[in-house]
Amino acid sequence: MNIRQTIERDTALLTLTGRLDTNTSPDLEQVIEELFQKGLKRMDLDIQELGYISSAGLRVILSTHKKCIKIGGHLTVLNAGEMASELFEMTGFSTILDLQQRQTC
Amino acid sequence: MGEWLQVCKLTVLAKQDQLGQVQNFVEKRIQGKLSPRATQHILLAVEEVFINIARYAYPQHHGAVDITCTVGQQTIALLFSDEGIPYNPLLRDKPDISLPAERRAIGGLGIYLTRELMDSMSYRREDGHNILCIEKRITPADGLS
Repeated sequence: MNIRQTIERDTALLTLTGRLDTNTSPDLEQVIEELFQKGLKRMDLDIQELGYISSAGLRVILSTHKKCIKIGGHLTVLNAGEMASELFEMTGFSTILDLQQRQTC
Repeated sequence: MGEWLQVCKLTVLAKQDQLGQVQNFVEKRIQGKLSPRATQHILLAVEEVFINIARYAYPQHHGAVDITCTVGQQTIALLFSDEGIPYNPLLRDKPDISLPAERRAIGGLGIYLTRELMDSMSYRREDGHNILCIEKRITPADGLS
């Protein structure tokens, strides 16, 4: 998995490419943790180019969402594809997360 | 007239870093048999089951796990066999997916998703082995030629 970071004012845009699975989700967790430590509270996670996601990926997304709520920030999940959308529905994440479709750079 | 079957077996160490090898093995066997969506479902189920075994089966050492992939005309069956401590993932509580974010447990979704995405999932303990079997039916929507 590749993680591209773009920081604009108080918002970090993370663009993910590849697979978000048990072995790659700790990388994302670490990047997000570093952003939190820098004081960033708003995250946009663009998952359009994510070809595969498992429960380990869902876990990182949920924990990021919870942390954002706790510190008064916000997580937006952008451009979920077919697989991610289906998993969000099945797990009830679709009612918890701010899911949006919009083009990022 | 018996059903045509293709049976292949892979043995790996029950370690998380073997995940790619296990998924590649399954992906090659089922190539062209299922829609991309159903293929993704199987690969996800394979990850969830394999990682579960890698985490819990052998607390003291790294043991092996056999993965048998049986491709038939109507179903794809995957059987995971390990010699680890007895563990039936089907006995785990279903996560409450209706809870708001603040009250949702982080994790515990893997086996739930596997049960939802597969047509059947069964467990048995046999001769000191955990045997977990998951099956997915091949449907006309998969465009099997």
